[in-house]
Amino acid sequence: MVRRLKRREVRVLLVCMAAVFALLQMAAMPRDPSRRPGGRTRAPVLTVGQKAPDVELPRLALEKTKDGGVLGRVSSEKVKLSSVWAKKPVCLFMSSYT
Amino acid sequence: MQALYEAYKDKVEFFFVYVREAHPVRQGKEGGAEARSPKDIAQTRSLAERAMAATDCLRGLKVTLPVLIDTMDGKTVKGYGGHPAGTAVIDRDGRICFTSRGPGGVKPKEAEKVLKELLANKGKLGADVPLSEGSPARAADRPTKR
Repeated sequence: MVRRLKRREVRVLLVCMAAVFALLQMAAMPRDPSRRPGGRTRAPVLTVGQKAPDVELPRLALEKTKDGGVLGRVSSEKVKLSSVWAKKPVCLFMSSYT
Repeated sequence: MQALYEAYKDKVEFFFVYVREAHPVRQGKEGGAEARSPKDIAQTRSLAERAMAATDCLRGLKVTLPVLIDTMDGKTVKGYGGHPAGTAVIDRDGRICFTSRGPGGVKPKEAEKVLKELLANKGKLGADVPLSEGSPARAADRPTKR
């Protein structure tokens, strides 16, 4: 009886030690700041002086319709930001209508 | 935004980057949007749809800025964090001078202050700011100013 109790205690002790070890290891792991809860990725935070991400995006081409309206379509012309900021400073506003 | 563009368009290159919808309406059973007003837009599923939404946006907001369409995989959003909205000012060396993001991330007044400083310095950040390529710590997740 005494021997069985001791074995159980040792087992509980081992499990507790393993849990504590696992928690310590998780706490010591470097956290990825771009990771959100749920696995979604957050865009990296940009700071002043950092190299700006270079992207190439299509322009919106606007055409007037016969009834006087405006029709927008994706232009075949693309703008590479690095080729623009080489000439002038660039100001980007990013948004959607909604 | 429009006023800033009108004031500085000769010295600064402005772009309005149209990103994915922040608050799209739900798709109807037939695939169309359950639109109740002209501003009700379903999430765009192609560049052509995004271009149409951008046109409605320009018409609604009465802005004449040159518009770029973000790619369907959201290169701009991933790079600059411009969702649901954001602002970025970049100098002639390709360095970030100002960014803001999140709801209400379009900040023309703050951008104007930075642009004034930039233009006074030939469009470049001061030499005292080193060029860094790395991604900074999470603690800096707030609008950055010079």
